[in-house]
Amino acid sequence: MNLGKYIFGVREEYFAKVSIKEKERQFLVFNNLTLMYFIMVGFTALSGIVYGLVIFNNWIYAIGLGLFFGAICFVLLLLVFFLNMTTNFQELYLTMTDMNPLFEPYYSKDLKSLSDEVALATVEEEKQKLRETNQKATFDYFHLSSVITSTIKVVLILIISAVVANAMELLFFKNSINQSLNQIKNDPTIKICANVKKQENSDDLNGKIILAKWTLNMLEPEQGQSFKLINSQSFLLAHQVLDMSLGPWKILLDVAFALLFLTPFILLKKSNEYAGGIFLKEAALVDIAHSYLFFLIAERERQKIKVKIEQEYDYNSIITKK
Amino acid sequence: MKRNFFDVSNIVFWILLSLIGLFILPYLKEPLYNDGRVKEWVKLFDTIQPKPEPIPIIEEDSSKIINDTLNYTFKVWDWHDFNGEWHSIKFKYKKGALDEAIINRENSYNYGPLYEHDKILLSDLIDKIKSSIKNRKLSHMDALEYVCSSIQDIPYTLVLPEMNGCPCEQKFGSFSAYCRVQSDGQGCCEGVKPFGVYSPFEFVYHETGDCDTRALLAFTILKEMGFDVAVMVSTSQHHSVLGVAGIGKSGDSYGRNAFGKKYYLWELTADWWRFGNSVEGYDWFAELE
Repeated sequence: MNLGKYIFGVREEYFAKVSIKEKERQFLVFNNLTLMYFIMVGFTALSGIVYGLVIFNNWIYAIGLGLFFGAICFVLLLLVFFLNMTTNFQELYLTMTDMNPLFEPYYSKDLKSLSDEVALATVEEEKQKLRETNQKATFDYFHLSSVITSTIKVVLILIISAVVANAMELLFFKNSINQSLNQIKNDPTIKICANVKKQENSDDLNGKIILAKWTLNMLEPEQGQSFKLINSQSFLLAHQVLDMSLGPWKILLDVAFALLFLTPFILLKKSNEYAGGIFLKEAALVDIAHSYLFFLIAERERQKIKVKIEQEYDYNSIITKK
Repeated sequence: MKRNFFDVSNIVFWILLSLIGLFILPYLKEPLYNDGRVKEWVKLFDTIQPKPEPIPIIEEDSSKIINDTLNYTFKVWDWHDFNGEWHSIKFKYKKGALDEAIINRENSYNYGPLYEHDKILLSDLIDKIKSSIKNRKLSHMDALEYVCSSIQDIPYTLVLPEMNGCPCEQKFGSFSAYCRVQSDGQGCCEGVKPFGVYSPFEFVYHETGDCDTRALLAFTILKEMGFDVAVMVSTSQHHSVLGVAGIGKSGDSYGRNAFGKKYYLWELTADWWRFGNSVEGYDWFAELE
């Protein structure tokens, strides 16, 4: 299954001029990247559902939040991925960003008699020439601003991963968390504390009383409802219990999720099989060829129209009118 | 080499995903989840937990008394303990401390500010008592008796807030003498604003005081030594005593704080009263702890 086609547009026709082995490799790397992308979007959508259930205790809102989170992650990760999808074949990159050197010779040429077939042949010839002269991909356009943009991308991915990690931990350990929450709810100490009257001149004790009351209140569902996922109305309380119970393991899980989310980004940034791969090279060539062909046809038509205007337009009428 | 990076990163991703996926299984996640910290957290709501161990007593060489006569004055605090043994502690206090204590007392409307202010003025006395206890290797109970006996050894003096309160007849005795230490315990002090209690420093200075003045001094010294104590008040008895917690059951007289914590009562107004002896009244509550 060619998953890469749906997200990155990896189609068969791009690989007409490359070996089967190379084509298969490109399919593999882009399929993998797409799968990673889908997994990350799936995780984010699932985390939205988890948060929705904890916060709203309602399946419809939870699914809505899941779709919302999934959509945000879909767009943001796509943006991050596409920003790194630039070919490292330098001449192609430079030609794509500034095509004037390619067009200049034609400004002084007579193209009025240029047929579509000849134009297409010229473009194909140029495409083949660029394909053959660009054999080595090198990264040589470093700029200080790329450090800033990379930092922003990494921070963005880390935020998403932290959101997902916390939701997944709540989901994985929901039974244990619910047991702990029930213990808190039934603990006589906290019940006594919640029933004590507030004291003057004792902020510390009053703080405990308020916290105890709030905690017990959060552990009771709304009237006529039952908890759907976590037995707490408060996400913060559930998170605190999770944090206390997992201790250092929570940090380890958070790091695992961060690495999981960063891996595709690092892969895309550092692996030469994306920016230095055949797919992006061929995509750049197709892009150049399209622009080149449309330039030739447009220039031909411009020259024809110019002659027609010179011959047929009644300039005397303009002078008379004046 | 070019392809290795992709292969390695790819493997890392799938291994990480598999490891995370393993957490769905109960066998792996159970050992990671430890609700011990949650139980500890719940204990923080427990308002009747015993306080931590008393502050370690810092040994101090009593011979090294700084003779800073420019800024400090000295006083001797001496008494007979419950066994009749004589004790004497020389301590220093800042010049002008009495005026400071009076001003603070006149502007304080409960026991808390008196304790907070005077514990600094009495810091040298408290340190000396700590050293003495340390040197004598006294037990927890003996240390309590050591401090309380020094207060109980001083005869009672009634302290009243009214300007013309003395002499007077109270249901617990006749108070006709001057505002001085009287061996018969009939001394009477008037005009001690705002509510008829001397601050701890004033009590040490004048050695005159009634129930709450005594309880407050004992509280100040013992609290600074790390004991779990309180100033206990009874509305029905119009009386005040020292409350001690965290020492096990001691007699039948006890009061509670607002959270139900028990403090056993120690009457400090007479030298024969010992910890565990019953104290009248059933409405004792912790006013300061």
